[in-house]
Amino acid sequence: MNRRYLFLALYSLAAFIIASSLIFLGERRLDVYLSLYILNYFIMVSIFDPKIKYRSFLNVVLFIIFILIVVFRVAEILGWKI
Amino acid sequence: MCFGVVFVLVYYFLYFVVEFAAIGLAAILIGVVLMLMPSEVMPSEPIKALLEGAVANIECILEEIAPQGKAVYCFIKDKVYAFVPVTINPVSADIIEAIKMPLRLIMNVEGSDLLAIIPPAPFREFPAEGDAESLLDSIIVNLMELADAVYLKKEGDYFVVRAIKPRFIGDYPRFTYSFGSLISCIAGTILAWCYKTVVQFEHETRLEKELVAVYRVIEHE
Repeated sequence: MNRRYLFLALYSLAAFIIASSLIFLGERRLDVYLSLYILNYFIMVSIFDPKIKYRSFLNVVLFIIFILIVVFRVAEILGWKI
Repeated sequence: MCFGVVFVLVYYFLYFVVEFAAIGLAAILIGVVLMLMPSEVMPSEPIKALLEGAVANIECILEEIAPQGKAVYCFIKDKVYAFVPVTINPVSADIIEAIKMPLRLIMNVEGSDLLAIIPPAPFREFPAEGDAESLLDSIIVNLMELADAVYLKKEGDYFVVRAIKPRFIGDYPRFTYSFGSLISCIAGTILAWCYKTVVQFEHETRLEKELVAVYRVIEHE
């Protein structure tokens, strides 16, 4: 199978597995879903290295979103109000 | 992506169903990636078939001329040409002289005959500027799927290109002698293109799951 299609198929399958697993576990926090989707993206991109336009910009945006989710979660645990 | 946006907006903000909103988020991310992936990627099989045709033609020319030397890849005015010494390996100065002359099929420089060939490579996919190793990976691995991975190393005046799990096309002994395999030919072309210089194909070693091709830099511009 072409590498490009393999990346798309596995990326979508992994997203589906993540979503179904978390739904099955009863997870109701949307940021958990988003952070795992972002992790899935980075893992798949590092394995398959597909050609994506503006990849650096997308990587930076997703990384910032991921960091913000982590920061808010850590702040919540520490009892800080942001 | 639009489907995902609608799902998130409706199910998160209107119906407060997080599960469907999560599915919408996944759809948004997949949609963004799909949108940003270029749609005009040519499948590798037609490209390989076209280049094999070019290799077969070059094999006929090489069979006719029977050159003795290894290909020298030269960057000349936005193109890469390969000069194959017909008799003995010419000295570097002869190659550099040949670059300055009007191009012909067989060029005589200081008593040495050089066969001028445009090497079979997908020139249209070469960017104006770029890192050589990335371009090797992009062309040989991603575009043509001729190997699983390609690495480039510079050792003094030599470039060493390693292709992991290479795939070979056809059996062309004269072409293989002068240019190496198609992977080596494309790699030599890319090196001359990226470094805007003259590189000579030295030799190629086929190991069990690896191909190692060595090139010597003749001139830097």
